[in-house]
Amino acid sequence: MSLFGYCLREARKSIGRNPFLSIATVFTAAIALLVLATFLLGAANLQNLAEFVERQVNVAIFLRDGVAPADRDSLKANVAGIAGVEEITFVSRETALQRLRDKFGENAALLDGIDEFNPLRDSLEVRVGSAAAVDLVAEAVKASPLVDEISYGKELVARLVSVTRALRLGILGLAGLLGLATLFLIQNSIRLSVFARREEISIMRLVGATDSVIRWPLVFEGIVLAAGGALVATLAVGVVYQWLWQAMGRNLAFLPVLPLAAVLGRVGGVVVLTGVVIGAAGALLAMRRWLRV
Amino acid sequence: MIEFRNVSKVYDHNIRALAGVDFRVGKGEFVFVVGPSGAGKSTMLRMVYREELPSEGQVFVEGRDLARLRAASVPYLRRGIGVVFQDFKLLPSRTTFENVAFALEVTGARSYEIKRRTTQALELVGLRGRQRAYPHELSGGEQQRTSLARAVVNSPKILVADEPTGNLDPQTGRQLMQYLHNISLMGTTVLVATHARSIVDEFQCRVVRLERGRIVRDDQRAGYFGPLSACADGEEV
Ligand SMILES: Nc1ncnc2c1ncn2[C@@H]1O[C@H](COP(=O)(O)OP(=O)(O)OP(=O)(O)O)[C@@H](O)[C@H]1O
Ligand SMILES: [Mg+2]
Repeated sequence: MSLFGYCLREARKSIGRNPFLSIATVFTAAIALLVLATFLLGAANLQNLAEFVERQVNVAIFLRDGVAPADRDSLKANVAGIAGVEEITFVSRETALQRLRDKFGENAALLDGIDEFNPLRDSLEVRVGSAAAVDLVAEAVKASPLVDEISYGKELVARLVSVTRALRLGILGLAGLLGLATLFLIQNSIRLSVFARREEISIMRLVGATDSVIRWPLVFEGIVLAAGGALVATLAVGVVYQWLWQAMGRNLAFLPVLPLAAVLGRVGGVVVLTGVVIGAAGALLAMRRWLRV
Repeated sequence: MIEFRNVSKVYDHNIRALAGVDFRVGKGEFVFVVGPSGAGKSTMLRMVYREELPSEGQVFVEGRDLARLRAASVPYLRRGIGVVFQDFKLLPSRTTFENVAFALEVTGARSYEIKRRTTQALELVGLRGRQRAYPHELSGGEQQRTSLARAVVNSPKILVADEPTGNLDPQTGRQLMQYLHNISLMGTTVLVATHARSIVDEFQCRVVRLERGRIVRDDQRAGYFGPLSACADGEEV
């Protein structure tokens, strides 16, 4: 217990003894983690946007004329059983016309007289939970003799899915690269710290300090520096995000941007955790070279 | 306490530092190791605290063969051996007290224990009053006494000093040797490598002379009456 206290104290002293190097390390770690945080925020929003768009996706199954209500109902039941289908409603051609009328509003009079030869078709409107379900529904009903036509934003959905996937991969790769860069920076910083303290470390060895007593203060130091960088990054990204969010709310209100409170906890957590892991790993790597421990 | 059995040491580039050294030191003995530069004195001392391992032969400390000691046990061996160097090796950013306490801190001692023993060690070398001073505020002799306090604060059974008076004037050197000697009187085995002929002559005790890696003389001067009364005759000089 007192050793733990000693290690913490030593890490703090070591940071204090070399404030410029420490601050420089914190800020370089912050910059790398800032990019990570930015991309995590972007990813969260992209995910949100994809979900939002997917939620908008409906499939309309237009039926041929004169389909018997019983056949229609069995088709409806079939589609309702497909995974990802959330809701399915029958829209009769009369209802469809009524909707059109509502849409026309005060110009509805234009539609007068159309009732006699209503050109619209009966349809099943399917609301799906994910883009993948769209394809399932389309596959299932395509061949049915009852179906006249299927309409859905296939192109849009497919593109969105592939774009999100590519972006996620890219983000993951970039985050990995930046993580490596941070690891390298922390490693360098701890190496300098070991170098600055080589005298002290050699005396520690001489008076019988175990390897862990030599190692832990340095690991703590790496963790504190990287986690400090992570906090700075989270704070900075939070402030900028909040500002952007407000600006977006004014100008692009239709875009679903997540509020800060919804993302900061998760993003901050990931960033700080990444910082801690990178800090510890960087310190251990630095020591493997320098202390042969 | 310490035993060298036919120890040889060959460094890189075939430099032979020790050749067939046989040597025993008993508990509480005070031994000078002398010899010309490059004779292998430092090498010999470094083997005692396992900074070096023999190329041939064996070194035993308290009956343990150091070559067979696991790496993880080395720190514990060293807690039982105090070491003093010519260049003090104090940490400049720490006070006298902190420099001494350092040796206890890294072993995980409790803070009241650290305080008690550090104070005791400083008392022993007469530095109680200077405990808040930083190394640059101390004279050479005081710095070396700080380093001596650090070496003994763990109550080691063995104290090894490699030219401890090398950076001190003769008078201060003599005083420091007196402190080392007092420590040996308390039962610690003390090994001192030195060039200071006059001091060796004054402290008439066991002298081991190395030349080109071999022990060429190992005698106990007049006035040497065994471990506990070692050097009694030389003290007042
Ligand atoms: N780490 C080392 N690597 C290679 N050779 C070394 C090493 N340490 C000592 N030597 C060589 O071993 C020989 C003995 O050195 P050592 O330091 O033991 O002598 P010494 O008696 O302490 O000399 P001095 O009185 O000058 O301190 C010398 O020739 C020296 O150059
Ligand atoms: Mg030497």
